[in-house]
Amino acid sequence: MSCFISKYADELAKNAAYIGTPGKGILAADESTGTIGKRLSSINVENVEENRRALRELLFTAPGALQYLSGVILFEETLYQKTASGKPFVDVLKEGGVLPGIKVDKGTVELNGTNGETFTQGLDGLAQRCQKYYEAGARFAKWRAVLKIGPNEPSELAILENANGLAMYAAICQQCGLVPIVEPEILVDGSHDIKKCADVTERVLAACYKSLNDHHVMLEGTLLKPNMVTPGSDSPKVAPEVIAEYTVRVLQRTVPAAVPAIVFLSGGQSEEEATLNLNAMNKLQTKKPWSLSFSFGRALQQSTLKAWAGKEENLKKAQDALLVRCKANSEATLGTYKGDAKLGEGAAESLHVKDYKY
Amino acid sequence: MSAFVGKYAEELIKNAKYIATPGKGILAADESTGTIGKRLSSISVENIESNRQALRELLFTSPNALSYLSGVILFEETLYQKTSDGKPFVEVLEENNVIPGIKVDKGTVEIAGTNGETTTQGFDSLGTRCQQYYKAGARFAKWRAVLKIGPNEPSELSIQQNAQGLARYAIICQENGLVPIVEPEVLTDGPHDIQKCAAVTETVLAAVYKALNEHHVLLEGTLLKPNMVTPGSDSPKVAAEVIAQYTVTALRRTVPPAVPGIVFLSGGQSEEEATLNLDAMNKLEVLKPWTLSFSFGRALQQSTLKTWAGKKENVPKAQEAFLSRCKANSEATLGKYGGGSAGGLASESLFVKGYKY
Repeated sequence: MSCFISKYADELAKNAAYIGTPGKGILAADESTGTIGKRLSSINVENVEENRRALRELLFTAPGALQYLSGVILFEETLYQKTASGKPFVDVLKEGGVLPGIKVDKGTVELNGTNGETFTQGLDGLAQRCQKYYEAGARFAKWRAVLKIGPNEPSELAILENANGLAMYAAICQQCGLVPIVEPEILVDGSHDIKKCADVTERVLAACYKSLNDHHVMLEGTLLKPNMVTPGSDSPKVAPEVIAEYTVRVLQRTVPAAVPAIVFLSGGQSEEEATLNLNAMNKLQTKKPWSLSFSFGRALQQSTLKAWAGKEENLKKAQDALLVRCKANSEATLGTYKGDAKLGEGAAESLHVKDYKY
Repeated sequence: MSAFVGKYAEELIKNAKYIATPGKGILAADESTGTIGKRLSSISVENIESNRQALRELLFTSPNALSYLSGVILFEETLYQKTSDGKPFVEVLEENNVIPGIKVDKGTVEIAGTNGETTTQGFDSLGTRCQQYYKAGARFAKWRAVLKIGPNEPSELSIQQNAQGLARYAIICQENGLVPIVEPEVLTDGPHDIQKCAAVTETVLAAVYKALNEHHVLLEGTLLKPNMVTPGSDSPKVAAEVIAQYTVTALRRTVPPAVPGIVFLSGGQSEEEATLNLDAMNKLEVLKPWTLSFSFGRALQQSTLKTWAGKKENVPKAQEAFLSRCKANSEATLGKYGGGSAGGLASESLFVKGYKY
């Protein structure tokens, strides 16, 4: 094969396919300490380990929620944390039929000579870290590459560097038994229209899959986490059906059928927007050889966070809010969401933050 | 879009989709004058225009054969030829819902500094020629790029050159209303095993689709004509199911779902081998977002040629042989081929070392 057949090949293919199970998706709960601090401060909660632990326990023990999830992405700290009664989070997830995943990148740094474009760090010692994470129970990984749209962006340099970084990360993960989620996020920031976003997304995805091929990555053991194709944040919004049409067309032109599933990032979309768009894609009657699901962070947690507000007495309310979003998104992966989820406070609120740093 | 959506976009998409109709495929009857000369001499027939015309008339007027074809690739001379009662071949095809296609490349030349690797010629005035062919009734085109497997082959240079060439040809075709068949043939010559062929085919196809993206080619208005993934000609043969498995895996890893159909070349395979392999692929229980069909030259015409032997009295029998192969391959595109339409001739290998088209 053109791809390197790691000793984990069968396991990788099995786990990647499982994550793509129709009706399920991923909760991205891998906010770094800095980033989760911003979330916590938005609800006036102190950014200390106990609070970070309490939030994640709230999420992972929400009754009925795990059945709608096939994976949860964790930050390193969380991988080793436990519930208040001492049960490792990893065990909670496994028992709930949910694969633990791990964020392995170390954030972005600027590319010299560009207009604020970036590449992603984290390759040093990556293999050793992946082996450790596998031992701790992780079975998939995530690495976020970021590109932006501008008059001269994304530049060829930014596309190549990020595609190459993703491919190197993916190859290393596979050697260590972790299914790599390939995430080439094109930021929504800007005044461009949906056609421009489609154009850029096609170019970027084509470059990614060429790189993955160059690096001998086994596509059957990967997942893709792309942005949906939408107008820029400063442009008028369009209907979910339009987003669905543009998005799926771009994917048909670039993502080989060997990739078992595509799990969208939510970017700055509100919880409800993200769900409606995903639903529209799954309703579309056209060729889709990969399943289309979610890997949402903000778009799954926003109303939960607000309902919790850091208070123990709000636990049930908060967990109910999470369940509502999980169920809604599960239905969206089947194209059966009727738009009737009880909207929690903030579910329709845009989560866009300009020039968002993770 | 990243793709160029010109005035012919809808027509290109429609025609590509039609060519990819399940149950149909392509007859590659585009042998250049030199090449058809070799075929004719193998049956002791003189290589003159009237014989070339007679052979193609035999094929295109075979009763019922055209119902199994969605397209026929022609050489330039043939595009302008007629039946003996004066009906243009193009009309014969069109009346039977077969789309005429045209070979637009001008053969291969060696790339200096490589070990016999080649690039394909044909860019000069290609746009103008495409316009003329469109006026004459052609609606798709074909351009054959060739790569070989060796200790250091295919080289990165050869892969890049051929991928870029195919992409440039493809966009020019689309600008002028012709659906481009993209053909990156990896030759079977060699002692390598099937895994090697798979690795090379995947690398080549990945490069081809990257180049097509760079050149803004509208994938929905193209077709792919690849080699099947097989062991080298000097290696032991494997079962059709194995060929199917490796081939479909390679395609699933590289060919975007937007491509409506994949029409295999037969290389040096015998008529029966080619049909059995295609059938095995269509029987495979795995998700295939494009149709899998045929674009066969030798593997559709071999027994027909031998049966004809250049003699008018043999035409009906030759046409029956042709119909038989068309029907067999049509069934193979549906995974319904039961085998057995192989006469002794159909099982004969058509492999010629270092085959020059």
